[in-house]
Amino acid sequence: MTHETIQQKLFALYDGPLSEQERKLVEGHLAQCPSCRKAIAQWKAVSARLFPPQTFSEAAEDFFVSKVMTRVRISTLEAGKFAWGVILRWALPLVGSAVLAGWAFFSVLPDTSFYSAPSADAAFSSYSSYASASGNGMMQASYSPDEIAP
Amino acid sequence: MRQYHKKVMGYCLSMLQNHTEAEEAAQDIFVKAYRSLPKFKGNSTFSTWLYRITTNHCLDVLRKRNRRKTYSLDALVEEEGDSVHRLFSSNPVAAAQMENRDLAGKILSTLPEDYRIILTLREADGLEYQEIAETLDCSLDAVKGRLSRARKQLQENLRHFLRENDVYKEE
Ligand SMILES: [Zn+2]
Repeated sequence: MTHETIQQKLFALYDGPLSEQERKLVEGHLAQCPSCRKAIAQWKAVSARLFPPQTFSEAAEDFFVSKVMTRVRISTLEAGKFAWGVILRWALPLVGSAVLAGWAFFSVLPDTSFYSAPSADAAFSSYSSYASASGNGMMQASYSPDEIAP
Repeated sequence: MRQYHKKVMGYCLSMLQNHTEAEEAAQDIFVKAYRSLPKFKGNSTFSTWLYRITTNHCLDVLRKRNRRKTYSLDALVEEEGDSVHRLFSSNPVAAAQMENRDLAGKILSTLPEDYRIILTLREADGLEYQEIAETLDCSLDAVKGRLSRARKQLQENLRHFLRENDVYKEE
């Protein structure tokens, strides 16, 4: 194996496990090649300074966790508000138009319908006036109090 | 949540280079994750899923602030040269100090975004190639290639400081 190919394997060894055979090869080369030893040592020095281990006090972590949980709770509440917004935006017009349709049904249609109380009254009074004018004896005998009186 | 806090914070810090912004981003990410938890199907591991949310969120933040340009290599050498020298000649333990973390962020911001992402996933969070591939939705070969180019470029950017500081020989 050439020095070049070893150089590529060098970092593979640094980053993680290699196969037993490859590891032996790289380690064997490292033992006798100062330039490769220097390359890996230099990288270790760079990494140690640019990526130092993170340490956080327990208090700092507690603080962080509580801040996140508060924000999660607030965002859940906001999600609730959002649902109400949806209800207001969609359900309210729906209910509104249903009420409007109902009003239209009961106030416009009844002019031609016998369900409406005033027109039923009118129909009844027109019928009774017709009955009395036509002098229907049966109707008058059975239903008119004027005829029963002597 | 604690278990992931450190990882997400570390990722955000090295992507955003600013503690306040990183913490804000980490909060946003956890809130987002909580709310989209029902969408988590379990066809990737939870941490891969969380890293994916984190990656996208950090990229969003970076895009929104693009008026604030990333640190150029020239500016780094000119303005922060002494600090970088000090960082590399000091004990690596000192790197954990706040001002050195900010400096590390500036150094990393001299790299293209995708290099910064892959280096952070590998070096800071210790993800394996396969996990990185899942997080970034690319092939294993792409991960290896990009990682190797990112390392090369970073060392190239730092060559000025690395040549004069031979501390790495002792480590
Ligand atoms: Zn070699």
